[in-house]
Amino acid sequence: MIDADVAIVGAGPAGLAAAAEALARGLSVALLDDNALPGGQYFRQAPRELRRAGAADGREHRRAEALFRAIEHPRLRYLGGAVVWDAPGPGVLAFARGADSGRVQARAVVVASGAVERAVPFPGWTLPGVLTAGGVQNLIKSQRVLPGRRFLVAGNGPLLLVAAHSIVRAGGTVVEVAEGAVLARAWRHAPGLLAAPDVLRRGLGYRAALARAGVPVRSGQTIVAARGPGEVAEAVVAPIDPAGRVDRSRARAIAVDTVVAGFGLVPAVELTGLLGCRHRWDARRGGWFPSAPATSRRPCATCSRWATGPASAVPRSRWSRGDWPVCSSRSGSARATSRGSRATSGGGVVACAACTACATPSPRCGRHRRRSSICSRRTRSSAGART
Amino acid sequence: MSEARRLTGAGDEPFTFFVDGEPLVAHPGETVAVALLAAGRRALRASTRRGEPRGLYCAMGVCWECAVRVEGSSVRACVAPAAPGLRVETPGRAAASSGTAPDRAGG
Repeated sequence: MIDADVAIVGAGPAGLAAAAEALARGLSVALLDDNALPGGQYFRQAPRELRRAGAADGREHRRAEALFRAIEHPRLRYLGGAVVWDAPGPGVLAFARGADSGRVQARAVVVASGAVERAVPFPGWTLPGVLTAGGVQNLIKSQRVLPGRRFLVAGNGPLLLVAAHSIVRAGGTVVEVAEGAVLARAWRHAPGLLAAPDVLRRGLGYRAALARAGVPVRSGQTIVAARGPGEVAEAVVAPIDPAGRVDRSRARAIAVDTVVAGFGLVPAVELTGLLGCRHRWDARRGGWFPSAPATSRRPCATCSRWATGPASAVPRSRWSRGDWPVCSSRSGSARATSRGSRATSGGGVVACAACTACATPSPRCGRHRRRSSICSRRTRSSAGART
Repeated sequence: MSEARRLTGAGDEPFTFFVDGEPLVAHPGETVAVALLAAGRRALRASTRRGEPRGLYCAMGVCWECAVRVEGSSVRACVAPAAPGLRVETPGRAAASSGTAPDRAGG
């Protein structure tokens, strides 16, 4: 049994920031991650053997380094390659790690398990050669392999542009980016984007880079099928009419060897489910979301002990306020903030990509309009907290 | 036949491991899936019900589409590191599928 004040599951940006915060308050931390190396998806590290100098851009690299500093702290125990598979009692997590297994006993548990791709099926989606946008990013960035030559990138959201850009930079051909959203309607997100100029600049930067590479980005288009035989040889794309229906009469077949599908991210709720938290189905965002106290009178089976939600931290941590609060008793003001921001959330999709410190998947970013600055403050405060 | 290719230069000492008894070259740090991908193999297993070919999907350890067997255990090829001498078996025999495969979850 490993004892710690705080057990944090997930060593991505949120988990690392939570760890730094807990360490700064004099607490001991057990940090577990399914991956061998910390970093999560956003700051995913290549295995040492595959690293090369200058792989990450400087600014991102500095942000990552600041977060990784927590790992070396003497009061932190990092358990890489550990899969949490049970929560047998309050504050107890059972994990499997390679051929070993063990338990962590903690006074508080922080779930920072992050997000997973929202898998949207279409005929042929099981064919080898259909990959998620995040998966392709991972293969290129940390596995140093380009998984095809001719790509269709299809789905919805800013990660499509990021993935397409990575593919082009790695020497692949992106035949088309098919974005489901209709550009004309995207302008309603403009106020949120203008409040996050950095995100806007990066988004435009990807667009410009793709334009230079001659990659068409078509909005109002969606993938309707991938075809074999055996593996992807062709993709079928069709327009979405103003009523939101797919117009199959105008479908186009495109010869590609790889389909990159990205339909946004949803929270990884296995662990919050294991911990007995309530969840609600969000049809618009297409996933289950852990309920915070703001929406539930009885948020967690073991509320006084468990903290849940990405980026939520040790109880009373100041920067969990207004986000997904921890599953302990929260002040009225935190509830009000949370409810208020939910009311204004219209899905400022692009704004979300910036929320790295809280590892917030894109659809939540409508709430984070004002908060991209908070997120960077999180990063800075957690980095500076150890001084 | 896939067109995947490695992006790193030939700096590291490659080694050999075995997939269904066949030797395969990998570089240090690579996963089983990447070594297979770079060797042109995208189908990593056959689905249990219909024998349809399945390969990498999430490529980050979530979906288990790329499950292969190592020493009797199911492992995710996308996160399992290749190692010298490692013996990997791909489950089932991937049938040459024509057309589409609608049941990722159930297959």
